[in-house]
Amino acid sequence: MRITSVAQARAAYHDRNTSDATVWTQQVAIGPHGVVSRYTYTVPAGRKALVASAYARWRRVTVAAPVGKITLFLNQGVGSGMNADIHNLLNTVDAIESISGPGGLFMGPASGVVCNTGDLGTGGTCDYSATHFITEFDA
Amino acid sequence: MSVDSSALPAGATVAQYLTKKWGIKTRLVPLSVVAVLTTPTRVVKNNPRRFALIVVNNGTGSVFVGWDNGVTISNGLPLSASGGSITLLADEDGELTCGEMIAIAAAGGNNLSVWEVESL
Repeated sequence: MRITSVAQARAAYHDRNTSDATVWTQQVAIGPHGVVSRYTYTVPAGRKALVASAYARWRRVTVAAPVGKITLFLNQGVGSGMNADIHNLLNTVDAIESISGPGGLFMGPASGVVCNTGDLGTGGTCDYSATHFITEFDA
Repeated sequence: MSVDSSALPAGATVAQYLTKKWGIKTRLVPLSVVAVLTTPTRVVKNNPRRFALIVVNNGTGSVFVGWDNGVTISNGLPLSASGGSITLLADEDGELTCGEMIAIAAAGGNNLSVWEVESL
C-alpha cells in the first residue's frame, strides 16, 4: 500500500478573505474637553489584522485663553505601543501639527487600536483628524 | 490455475509477465469518478477479481477512506486535497485490495478518480 500526500501551500494573508477595517475620525472646531475616545477597533475572533499605516493631524481654529495641553494619541496593540502622538501648547490660529505613525504591525484576535483626543485649555477650538489604515484577514 | 502465456501477442511482455505471475489474464477497468459525500460513500464495490487499485483525490478538501461504513473523518486514512492518493496491490495488501472501499469528507464537492486492474 502506498499513500501519498500533496503539500498544500497556504494562501498569503492578503488572499485570505481580506476586508478593509480602516477606522478614522474627523472632528471640526471642537472646544476644550477631557480625554475622549474617538474610535476603537478590535480584531475579531478568527481574524488577524495588519495596520498598514496611521496618520494624525491637529489644527488650531480659534485661540484659547488660556491655552491648555492638547493631545491626540493613536495607540495600537493591547495597552502597548503608541504609534502617533501629538502633544502641544500651540495657540496661534492655523497652527498645524501632523504625524504619521509606522505601519506593518500584525495584530491577533482581541488586539486593536485606539484614538483619543483631549484639550485642557479654556475656550478656543481645534480640528482633529486621524486614521488607522487596517486590512483584516482570516487568521 | 494456469494460463498459456504464449497465447498472448509476442510484444505483450507485461501481460505475459503478469499472466505468469498471477496465473490469469487481467484488464484495466475504465476510469470511475466518485463524488464523496459527508456520509459514507462507496468508492468501489467488493470485487474478488481486483488485483490493483489506485484512488486519487482531485478535490480541494481532504477525503478519508476505509473498508467499512464505520469510516469517519477521524478514523479514515486521509487522502490530502489536490492529488493525495492510495495504491493497493494484491501482492502487498491482500484482501484490502479487493474489499469494498468507503470514503467520507468533511464537506461535499470532492471527487475521487478510481482505476482498477482486475482479472478477466
